[in-house]
Amino acid sequence: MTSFLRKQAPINFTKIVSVVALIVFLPLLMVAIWQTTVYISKATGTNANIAVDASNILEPVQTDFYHAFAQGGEEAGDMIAPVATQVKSLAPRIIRVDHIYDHYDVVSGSSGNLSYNFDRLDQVVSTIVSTGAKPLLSLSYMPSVIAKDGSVINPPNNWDDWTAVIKRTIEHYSGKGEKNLGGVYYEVWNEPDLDQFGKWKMGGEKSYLTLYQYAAKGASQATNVNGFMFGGPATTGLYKNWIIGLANSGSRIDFFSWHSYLSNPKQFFKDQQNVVSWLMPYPGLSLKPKLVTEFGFTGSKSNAYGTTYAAAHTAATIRQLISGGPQYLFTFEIVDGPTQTDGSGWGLISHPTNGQKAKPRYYVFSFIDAMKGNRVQLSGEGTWVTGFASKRDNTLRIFLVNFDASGSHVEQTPVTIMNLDPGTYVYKERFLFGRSTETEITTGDGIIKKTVVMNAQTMGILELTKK
Amino acid sequence: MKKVIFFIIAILLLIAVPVTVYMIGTNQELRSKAAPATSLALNPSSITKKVGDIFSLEVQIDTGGNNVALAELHLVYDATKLEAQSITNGPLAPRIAASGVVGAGTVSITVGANSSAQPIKGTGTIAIVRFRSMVPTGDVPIQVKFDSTTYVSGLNEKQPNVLVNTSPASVSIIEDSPTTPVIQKVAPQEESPSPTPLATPTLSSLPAATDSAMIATSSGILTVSLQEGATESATSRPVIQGKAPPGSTVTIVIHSSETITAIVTADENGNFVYTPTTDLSDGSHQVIASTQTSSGAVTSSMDFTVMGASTEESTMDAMPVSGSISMTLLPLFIGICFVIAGMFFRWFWVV
Repeated sequence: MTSFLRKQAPINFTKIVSVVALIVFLPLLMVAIWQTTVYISKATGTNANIAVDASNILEPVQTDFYHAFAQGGEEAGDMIAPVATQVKSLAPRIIRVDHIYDHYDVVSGSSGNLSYNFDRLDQVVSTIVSTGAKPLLSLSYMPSVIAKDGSVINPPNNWDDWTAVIKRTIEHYSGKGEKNLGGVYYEVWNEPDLDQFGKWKMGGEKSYLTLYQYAAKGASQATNVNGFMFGGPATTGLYKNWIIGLANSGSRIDFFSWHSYLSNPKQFFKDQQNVVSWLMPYPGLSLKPKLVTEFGFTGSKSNAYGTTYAAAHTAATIRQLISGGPQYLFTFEIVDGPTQTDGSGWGLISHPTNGQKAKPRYYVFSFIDAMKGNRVQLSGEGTWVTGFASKRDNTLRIFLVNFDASGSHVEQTPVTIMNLDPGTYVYKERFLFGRSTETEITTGDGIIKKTVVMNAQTMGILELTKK
Repeated sequence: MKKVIFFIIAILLLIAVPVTVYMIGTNQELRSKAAPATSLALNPSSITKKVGDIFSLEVQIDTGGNNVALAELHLVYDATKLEAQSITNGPLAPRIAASGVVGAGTVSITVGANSSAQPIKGTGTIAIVRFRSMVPTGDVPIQVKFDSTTYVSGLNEKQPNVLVNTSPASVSIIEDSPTTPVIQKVAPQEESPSPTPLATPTLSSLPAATDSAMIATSSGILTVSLQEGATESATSRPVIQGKAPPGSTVTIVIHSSETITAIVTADENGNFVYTPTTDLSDGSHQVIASTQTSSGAVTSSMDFTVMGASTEESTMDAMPVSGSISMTLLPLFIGICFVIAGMFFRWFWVV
């Protein structure tokens, strides 16, 4: 055969075949290597072996910080109003909206002679307040009447106009003679580093620091106002040069903010550790609140936002931040845009034109609220199953979540509870969207052991109440 | 005239002396504020414990006149002798800025004041670390000490890190006496030489139950188990059996991806049996039996796993079942074929 080919195949033909073979082979080899790497990486990890020391009571568990929600500007109107009742049930502490200048026709006129009409934006703010939340207004984007080339992602032709717009906005909502709202958060811009929103940098012609400084000037000029919070930079991620650059700006900073779209919940923990550490040399700023003003597992639209995957990711992220977390962690977003009939929207609730249905992630927040109390020592978390414990009144609770970012890992999680008072306990297992059981257990040595089936993307609370 | 001048000078001196004293005092205070003067110490500074004892060390701060915003604490210790269990904030530091991290030989946390207007001042406890003593230290005690990366930020100071001094704690661990209670240590699962059992009966009066808790419901009025016994590899139609008060109605609910509910009646001996009429899916299930008694409802439950070949392997290996090995091997196989083909043609061409 070889001899035959050697005789029959012209040299040019063999060259061509060789080249074609190599061209086809190389991408396939790359795919194979990548798939193998992914497969191996999925296989590595540690199962949880939870141990709770009921006698070691730690600090109070904070549950307010995750009752924060953000709404994108996918429609130029009051998107929250149609779902206000459902939003109120989320017990929101704060709700963020952006696009306030380009969606609500607030600013008109010309440079040095600006007019303001807050009527449409007032409706949005009124809806937010009606849900029991305070507003966080993302001061975005540049009103077209003052923007260079009329583009809402450009700097203004005259920075004093931008200052005037900010001053007027703050006076309108925080002004004692106007809306008279207390504790409103004002955030300078939204994702300034993103191309879509202007690709601002920390210097140069489109300097975010300049944008911020002129906005801060407007904040300082606002008179007869209630206390308010003013900050930024609301970047697409936590970037040290933006945080430190802003810290060095000398401008008023009441909070630092950024967005986090990370599939690994443990990165949220690392981010929090990092930002605190970066700001240690700035004692005057190190205590300022940190706000994650949007978060999710991906910034892209995904059908997984409508599944228990998203719910488990949210729960696993909250667990990572349950101690020493940010002031607020804003879930993005409240309600889908109008075109996500395929279920790929970021919303906790589908759009009114698509049934206005609560998705699995919607139910996570109230579920974890049951963990209010004082944190109790819990160890033995694994790669997939994580959790924390708390004690309130006479009940010990253990929250467990199994989040597998890349698959459907199932494990039988051993749970050992130590240093209990001997006696009989009512033991409950309550899973979100799953089983709910109740039994009685008697312990003579203060130790109770259970094995809990943790299916992928599930969360549950184990409760022990002494009879 | 001389008297007037003398009088004016005297008044000026009388004014100047207290003003000067006040200014000097103010300057001294300013200098004091500008100088780093904060120290950290562990309390108690020396402690003796038995093997297995749980004890706490308090991180105490003396701000020495500084106004402290945050304290980033890093402690190191001999992980072969001690095990840190937890770290949290103390009463003088009302806020946890960055969560505690407990590692092997290290423990850290960042704690601070509520706001710049209410800085940490004076002396008190800003963090509490809980340890478990593991093995005797012998004649030489071990030290728990602050790592050099520990940082205390002071407000309105020339240099932000105002920490000037740290004091460690000495820990002596002696042999445990027979009467000393031993706190159970749960070993990390990955250290276990054998696979973790897939399911453990969570509620049963069977004598084979190994849970250290006394597992029973209403003094064994109601029990449930599998007739085949092997809860970790049950068949797809396992025979569920149990004991209940004779003649009582027992509701059986099987929870899994599907939910099956059945009602059976215990015989004159209190025995009941139920076999699902359809195959249960592979994976984890839970059966809950309940019945009404004169003192109210009682329930009993048990976990079991219907084991198929594919899930057995993936679960025992803690392997995510996501991903497909065939999709991985196929391009790898095709790629190897192309490599061989390429080598063949290359060889043919060269020869």
